[in-house]
Amino acid sequence: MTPYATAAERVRALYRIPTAPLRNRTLEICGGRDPLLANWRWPGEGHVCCVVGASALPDGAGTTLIATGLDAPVPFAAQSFDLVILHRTLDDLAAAAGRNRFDAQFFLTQVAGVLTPGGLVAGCVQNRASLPGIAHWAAQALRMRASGGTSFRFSLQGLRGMLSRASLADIRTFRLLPDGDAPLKLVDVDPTVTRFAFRRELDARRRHLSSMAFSARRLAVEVGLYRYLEPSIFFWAYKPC
Amino acid sequence: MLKLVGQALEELGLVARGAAPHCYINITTGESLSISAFVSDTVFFQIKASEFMDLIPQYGAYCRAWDDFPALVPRPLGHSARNGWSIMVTEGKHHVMARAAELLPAANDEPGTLARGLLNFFETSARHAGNHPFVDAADDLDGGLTAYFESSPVSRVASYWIEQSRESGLHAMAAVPQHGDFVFNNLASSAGRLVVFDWEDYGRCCLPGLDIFTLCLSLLEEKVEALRAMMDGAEAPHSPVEHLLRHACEIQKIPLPLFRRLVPFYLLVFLYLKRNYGVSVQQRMSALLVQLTPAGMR
Repeated sequence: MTPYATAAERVRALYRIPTAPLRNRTLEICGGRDPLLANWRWPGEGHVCCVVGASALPDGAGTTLIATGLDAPVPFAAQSFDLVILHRTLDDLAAAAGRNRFDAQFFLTQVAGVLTPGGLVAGCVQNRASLPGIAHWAAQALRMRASGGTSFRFSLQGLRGMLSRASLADIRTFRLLPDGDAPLKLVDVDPTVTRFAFRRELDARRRHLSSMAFSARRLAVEVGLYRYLEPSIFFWAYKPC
Repeated sequence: MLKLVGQALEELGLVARGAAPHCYINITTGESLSISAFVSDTVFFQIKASEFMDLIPQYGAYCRAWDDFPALVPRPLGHSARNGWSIMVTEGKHHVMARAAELLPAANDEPGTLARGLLNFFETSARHAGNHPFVDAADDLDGGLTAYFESSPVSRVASYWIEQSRESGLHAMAAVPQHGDFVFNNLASSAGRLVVFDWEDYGRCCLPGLDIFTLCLSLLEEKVEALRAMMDGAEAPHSPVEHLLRHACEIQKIPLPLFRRLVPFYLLVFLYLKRNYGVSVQQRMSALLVQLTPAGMR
């Protein structure tokens, strides 16, 4: 078995991209799914997986597992960790609590607080502007009138703004293909890179597309639409020294 | 890891200190990550990074390929080892994937630039027959095949085709370093000229005709009926792939009947070379191999 053969291994590899060779204290905050780092040899001195809102903790050999509540999801002293991983955490916490009750900005500010200076936060969220995201948002918007709820998804600009307001810097954002749960490709949202990458993606599928379908997609690539439409956003940011 | 890549680019003198290239990263299903790192709108580097394997042998193969086929190979720029990661860097080439029609002119047509580039590749490759540093250094193919397939589900089929290849006289032909993954998707047009990617396995196998086979296999979209027709010589001589096959075998002085007879053996070798790739590739190739083997020998 090759090291990136499974989706889970590729998700872990994703977090090695901004972090390696960082080998220090790592915190993973999970909002409902199994921790990435439990039962896995993540390089470093000590890992803590904080499982928010769990009634029972999963197995986690080699990892300290802590259950916390939605009202206090980051119960750690300031500057305790060099790396915080938030894989789909913002999505899951927003879904669990309901958007009105989950303050993503407050949460990210707490996360920034537990980072050491120079420390890194990395994560993945669902993109509000993706085609499924737009449909989801529209459905939520209709329901919102009755229930007061809103969409849980995040926009690229909104996410960058929240990271920035949490006093995090050197923010990098990427598109994940095909999605955050089984990633294969990571595309910087820089327009040059997205055009290059999506031209390649389209080229690889050219033989399976009619010329009209190919031309329509090519047009979308050239005007830069694809950088907004993919379902997952991967991000990282540093706490300034 | 991207920090390490940035440091490697700095060390190789390819970017200014502190530069943070924008990246397109492939988490391949193999043992390494593949990164296109853009330092401007037009200039980028192609990088391979692994924490699981040493890329120096692959970088050596790339450098040798650059020496042998400078017009076809993106220029290798350097290798760096940092904090347990092995990082190799080559020139980035803006390109569009080649189209089959550009590589396969009809029998009576004048070949275009890409088709001429392809024939030049086969000509240059043939000039290395029996006379290349990789020929002596190549792995023992027969031994490797026998050991690898001994306990595999296709062991009986593998033994049959290994035996067939021994009887065919193929091994008496002069060895020629092969690209090793010479498939349609690795051929592209860059500034109107043919460019070939993925030279990491160059020279690991020196079996004459393997690159011709892998290109035909990919052009025929791995269809078993098309491969059978190739084995039987049932395709019309002027059909594009058959025309290419005849021309390439002629250039490389490979007897056509021998090539046709050993199509399943080439497939077996390709399966062996792809042993570290994804399971789906392995399964597809194995199924094809079984289908091309006489019923009594499966």
